Order: sequence, then C-alpha cells, then structure tokens
Amino acid sequence: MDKAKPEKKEIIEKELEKAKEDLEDLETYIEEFSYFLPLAICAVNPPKFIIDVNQAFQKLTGYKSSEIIGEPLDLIFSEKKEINLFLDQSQQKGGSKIKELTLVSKEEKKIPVSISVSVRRDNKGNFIGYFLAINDISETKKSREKLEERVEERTEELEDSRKALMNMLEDVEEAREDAEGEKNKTLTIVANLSDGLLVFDKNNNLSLINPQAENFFSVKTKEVVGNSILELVRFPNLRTLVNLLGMEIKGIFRKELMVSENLTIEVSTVPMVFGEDKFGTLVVLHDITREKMVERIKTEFVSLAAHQLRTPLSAIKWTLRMLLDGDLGEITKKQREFIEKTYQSNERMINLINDLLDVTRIEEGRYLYKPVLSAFENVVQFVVNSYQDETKRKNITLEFKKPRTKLPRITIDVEKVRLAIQNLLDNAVRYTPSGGKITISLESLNEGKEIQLSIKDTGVGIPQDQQERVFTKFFRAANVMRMETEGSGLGLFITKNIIEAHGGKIWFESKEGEGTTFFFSIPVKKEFEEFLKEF
Amino acid sequence: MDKLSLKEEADRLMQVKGNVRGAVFQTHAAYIRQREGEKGLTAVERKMEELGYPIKFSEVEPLNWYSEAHTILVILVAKELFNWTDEDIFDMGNTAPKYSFIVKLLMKYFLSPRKTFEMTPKYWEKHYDFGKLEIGEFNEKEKYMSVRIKGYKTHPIVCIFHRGYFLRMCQYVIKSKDITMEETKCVFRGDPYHEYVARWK
Repeated sequence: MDKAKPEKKEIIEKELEKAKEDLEDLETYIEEFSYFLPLAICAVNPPKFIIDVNQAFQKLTGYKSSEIIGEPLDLIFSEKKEINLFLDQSQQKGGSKIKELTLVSKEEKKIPVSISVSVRRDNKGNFIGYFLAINDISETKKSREKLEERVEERTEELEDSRKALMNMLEDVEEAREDAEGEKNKTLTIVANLSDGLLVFDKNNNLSLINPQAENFFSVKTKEVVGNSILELVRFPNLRTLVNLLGMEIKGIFRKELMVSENLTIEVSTVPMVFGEDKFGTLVVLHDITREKMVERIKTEFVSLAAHQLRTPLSAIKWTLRMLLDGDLGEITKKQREFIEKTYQSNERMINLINDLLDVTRIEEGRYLYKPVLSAFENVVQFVVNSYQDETKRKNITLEFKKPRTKLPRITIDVEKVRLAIQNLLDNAVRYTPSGGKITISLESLNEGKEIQLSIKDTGVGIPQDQQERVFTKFFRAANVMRMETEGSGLGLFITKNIIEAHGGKIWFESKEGEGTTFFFSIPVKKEFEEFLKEF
Repeated sequence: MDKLSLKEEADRLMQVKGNVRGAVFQTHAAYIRQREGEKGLTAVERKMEELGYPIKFSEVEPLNWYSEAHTILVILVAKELFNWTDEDIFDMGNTAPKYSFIVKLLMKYFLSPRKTFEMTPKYWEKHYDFGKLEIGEFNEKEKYMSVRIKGYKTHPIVCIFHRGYFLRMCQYVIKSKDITMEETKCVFRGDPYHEYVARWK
C-alpha cells in the first residue's frame, strides 16, 4: 500500500507535467497563430478593457501591446458610445456581429474598420468577454466611395441625359405640334384649293384626294383612298382619268380631259421627289371648262367669220380672173397691172382665211379626219415637184435626198401632211435668197419605227431670242417681217398640230444669217394605231 | 546602515523560500525588452550570471515553478543596470499583467470589480506557492477596496512592484481614469501584513 501511493503520485505528477507541456505548447501555438494572423484581433474583458492584442492589431492601431492592453476599448474608436452599445447588444443577442466604425490610431489617424465581435463564454456558458476582429476597410471604403461617387456621377449623368431627353422630347413634341399644325394648314390649303388634287404614293396607291377632285369625279374620299390606280378603274367616273394617267402614272403636262359635257379639266402630273427618291406623284386637275367654252365661242366666231369672208373673196377672185382673162372685154395694160395686184392681194386674203379655218378646225379637234395608208415618199415628192418652177425662178438649188431603202407605208391624212410639208418648204423657199440651197432629206429611224423628214435651207435663219415662239399662232420673226410682208404667221402652228396629231414630233435648228433646218418625225403604223385609239 | 552591494543583496535574497510561476519571469523579460531592447535583456542575463544566479529567459516555461528570489533579483539587476527609479519599478509591475499568459487564462474572473475582487486570492494561488492573499473590503459606493498579503516578506522593491501590479488589476475592471493604489500596511514597516487599498472616483 505504501508502494502504491508513491506510484500514483508519480503518475499524477507525470500527467500534470504532460498537461503543463500541452498548455505551454498551446500558448506557443496561439501566439504564433496570432502573430501571423493578418487580421487585427483583440480580446476584451466584460468591462470592455482590452486584455490582449495580436501583432496585426498593433500594426493597425500603432499601439504596442504594452500600451494598449488594459486600456478601455473605446479609446481606439471615434464612435465611443456605438462600440460599447454594439458589444452590449452582441452580448445580449449572442452570435457574431459586424459593424463599421472608425478606428483612431495612436497617430490619431482615422481608419474605417469593420468590427466583427464574438462573445466569449466559458464551459458553463458564463459570459467572460469578447473577441474583436478588426478589419481595415480603408481600401474597400475608398473603392466603395469611388464606386458611390461614380454611381453618383453616373446618376447625375443619367439625370442630365434624362433631362436632355425630356428636353428633346419636348422639342420633338413641339416639332410634332408644329408639323401637325403645318400638316393641318397644308390639308386646309389642299381642301380649299380650287384645283383638284390626287396624291399617289410610290406604289401608285391613292393616298389623298381633295374635295374639289371629289366633286370633279363624284367620288368620296373613303371610297377611293387606299386603292391602287388599277383598282380605281372600278369607279366609272375615274376611268377616263385612269386611262389618261396609265397604270404607271406617266408624266403628263396640261393634258385635257373631258369628264362630262359640262366639265373639262386639264391634267398635269408632278413627281414628288425628295433627294433622289421619288415618293409619290401629285396629279393636279385644273377646271378649264370656262376657258374651253370661251375658246370654242372664239373659234366658232373665227370660223363663222372666215366662212363668211371666204364666199365674197371667192366671188372677187373669180371676177378678177374673168377680167384678167378678158372674158369681160379688153383691158388696158395699166388696168391689168392693177387687177393682177388686186388678184394677188385677194389670194393672200383667201390663204389667210384658209389658214384661220384650219386653225379653228385644229382647236375644235376636228382637223384630222382622213387617215389612210400611204407611201410617205410619194407625198414628199409631190410637194417637192410643186416647188421646182419657183425655186428655178429664184435660182435656188432644190435637192431631195431619198432614203436608200424603201420606207414602209404609214397611215396619215395625206392632205394635211402635204400641207405641213408645203408650209415648211414654202418658208424655206420664201426666206432663202437667190443662189441658196434647199435640201430635203427623208430617212428611216429607230429600226424603221419612225420616218424623219428634214428641210434644210441656207436662208435668213431665225433670231435666237425668238426661237421659242416659232410654233405659236401668228408668230413672224422680226427679220422676215422686215424683208417680206406676206405670211399669216399660222403656217408653223398648223404644221406642228398636224405632225403632233399624227403622234409625231417637230423641231428645228437655226442660226440667223446661215439658215434653218426643220425636222419632223412620224411614228410608223403600230405606234400610230395606238395613238389613234386615244381619239 | 550602509547600502548593500547588489551581490550582497542577491545572496541575502536567495535566503527567501518560495516559488513563483515562470510566467512572472516572462513578464519581467517582456518589460525589459520593451524598455531596453534585446541588448538590455542580454545584459540582465549576463549580470545574473555574474552574481552567480544565472537565468536564461528564453528557457523559462510559464507554468513551471521558479525561485521567487530569482525573479526579484531580476528586478534589482534591471534597476541597477538601467538606473530605474521606483516609478519605473511601479510601471514594471503595472505593465506585467499585460504580458502574463496566466493573467490571460484568468481573465474569465475579471467580469466586474466585485467579482475580480472576490477572485483575487485564487489569482494569487495561481502564481505563488507561498504566502496568501486575502480580500479586505470592497465598497462600491465609497469606491474603494483593499487586499492583504500575508506570509510574504521578500524585498521592499516588490512592494512597489505589487502596487503597480494591483493597480493594473483594478484598471482592468474599473472604468475610471483616476484610480490610486496605496500600500497602507507593510511588513517592512512593522505591520503584520501588506495591505493595499485602491480608491477611484
């Protein structure tokens, strides 16, 4: 028994020694762990005095452990009440809590820190203090502040953008209202315009028709708007207009359209172009019923007057002829001279009356009435032959250049075409001085689709400033007025109408003092047949 | 009476019986290192060796028992080597708990002034294998308390050290910047025990 006690004591002492060594190892371990731990940690006792700190804590606060241990925890914080309250709340509520505070270092530098507190309890659960982990969040806070600044800046930018957008929206709204106002104005103008208006979009769908146009064709906006030009054929009142415009809405300038007995309108199309893009077509309908009526009355008057004048003039002509032929007895030489002059004047008067009658027929639209299939070359030759004597007498060379190949026969009003050529040749002979030359050329163009005639003279030419008016009624150039009193000024007007009535074109090139060349072309057969369908 | 030489004092001190935890050596070493650097610590070790009572601070284990006479001699050597005053010794005592591993372990008793006061004897027992610390009065209303150390007569310099030490213990638990610690009774002044009275405002 005595032996057993020392053995037991020895065992207990060994165990104690072992426990002591373990405890010391543990202390060393904790010290090393604490030393290398980058996070600042301090132990705080219940009355909130710092009782231990690690190396990182000393580095962060600038206090040595000997300086700070034993000091109240709130010494190192700006927010003294808050840190104490925070610890109290942590103790009451338990668990680990985090709070951001400002640490005041030994050098009185203020460092933003994040405090994490853990409440310490012993094995029995008794509260024995706190562990505090203090994390320097200067950089995080700087980053956060920068981020917040950036967010604030961005917010300001966004606010500015928003304001700018609002301003823009207001401007846009204002512009929209202005545009709306302008649109209303335009619509009001369009609605109150005396001319009829039709607007087709780029796909040739009718997008607008004004009230005047509605009246012209007795249609309603809601019925016709949105229809394509093809679909508008369904409306009987619009059919003539659609036929005139064509499916592609061709370019038309002041084309007359008789809508009814009491309504004639002049149709013009205007392409609506923005930059290089065509976005639609405007069809302008101008009521010319009154003008047509006045014109008709005028034409009827001229026609009537001309007819009334021609009868007595014919009687005078035949009487004078009889006198000149001696049917009424011998006349003296002197008397013959006077009667011949009177006869020539009477002839001019008759020609003028004939021209006036032609013009009235042209204006009445009943001029072309005998279209027949003819050999054009023969028609030209006939007229050329009739001027052979006169050109010889005037010592003017007259040349007729015929085509190398035979021309196709074309449908023409021979009498009228002959008159047209005659008018041109007559002018050439009349205004070409002695020794001059007149060249008539006939040729086929566009692979036989057209026949072109040109009459070139070496005459006086047409002054440049008067060339625009050459085809108007009663035009006579100033230079020819000075040298020649004959001529009604209607010949080229009649000629132009004859050529255009055949679907052809007429033009000229002239230089005063050097001569003039008149050209006209007439389409062959098919084109002309199509053309005739329009009448 | 002529002042004793350090050697004489050392030899005389060694007559004191009783042991103390190695943690006390470590807190002394920490304070010397803090004040005088590593060289200062080496100088103390050298002087101790010269006096015939060598000590290697790095080899001290905190929970082992060592002669209290040695720990007191370290204080005396440092005082002489570095010309420390009593104030320095007081500060050494006041700083010691900050470095003590044992103090850290005992912190769980430092819940409140009263609890700390009540646990003081236990605290003594953890450090010393001789002498006894008894609680005196604790008057929270009047703001004072007292403790007594009995059976402990080593060297008067320890009285200064302990005054600083006990003050720190109070500073750990009393939230006042104005705490005083006074040794009201001392065996070296003929009293039967040491008595320390803390007062605060």
